[in-house]
Amino acid sequence: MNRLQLEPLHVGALTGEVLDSDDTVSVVLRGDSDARDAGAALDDFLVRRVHPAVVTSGLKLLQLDVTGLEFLNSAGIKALVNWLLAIKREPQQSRYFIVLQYDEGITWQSKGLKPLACVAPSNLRLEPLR
Amino acid sequence: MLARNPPWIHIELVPVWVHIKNLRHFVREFCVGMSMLPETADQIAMTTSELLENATKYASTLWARYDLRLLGGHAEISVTNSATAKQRETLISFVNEVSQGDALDAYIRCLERQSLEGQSQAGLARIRYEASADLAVSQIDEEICLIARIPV
Repeated sequence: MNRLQLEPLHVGALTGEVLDSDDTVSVVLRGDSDARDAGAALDDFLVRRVHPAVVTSGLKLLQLDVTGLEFLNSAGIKALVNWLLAIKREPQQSRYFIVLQYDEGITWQSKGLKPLACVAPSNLRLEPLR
Repeated sequence: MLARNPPWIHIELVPVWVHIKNLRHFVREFCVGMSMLPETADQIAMTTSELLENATKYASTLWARYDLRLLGGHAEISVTNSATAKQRETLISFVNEVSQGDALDAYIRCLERQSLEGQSQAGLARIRYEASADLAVSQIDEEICLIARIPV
């Protein structure tokens, strides 16, 4: 079990998993997020499970790895935006920073993640892994 | 009689969620087979998926018609379905709204507002931004047709 004590998400072809690394925690999304309820399930996972757990833990840095996420529909993108908005709603001392690792070779990621950095420029950095 | 300028793909389907993924994959492979750049094929496939999701989630429809046309320097993707007067009015208003101004700014506004209101249709703004698409909407009687034109 990871240090946030979170079970993985499985919905359709989408999986979400929280993994410990040396000095931080990674949220790893893989597969395809295109099932009818995938957006709502991802929203629930990120906003109602991951976010409160990170705030409670006091973590200030989190990695979000989407390099294995082949497709994310707009409902899934909105789930990511909702997560960022939840961070922005926290008092300053409870906010944390996300490093979003992505693959420029996957078409939707090369352009489709930029809006996230615009939504929360103080809480997110995009980091291409190739 | 066959049309003089027929679509390259024409499918009439019951808009069931499980079909969307299959059609997305099919359209992508079709476009790659037409020697399009993989990135363009991905954008057409994404557009296909978002338009069909839109029809499946928001229209009061028992059927939808999907067309892909390749016209000169652009691909035209359209999804037609029946809709109530209120749904048609809402969709026309929304297309007009997301077509205004810079595409990225419109998409961000949409994502933030939709997140607060719990609504959807961010897919249309996404299509305009990610695929550099022009959006249009037309209606005939109780049918409404959403059209995205993507440069290829």
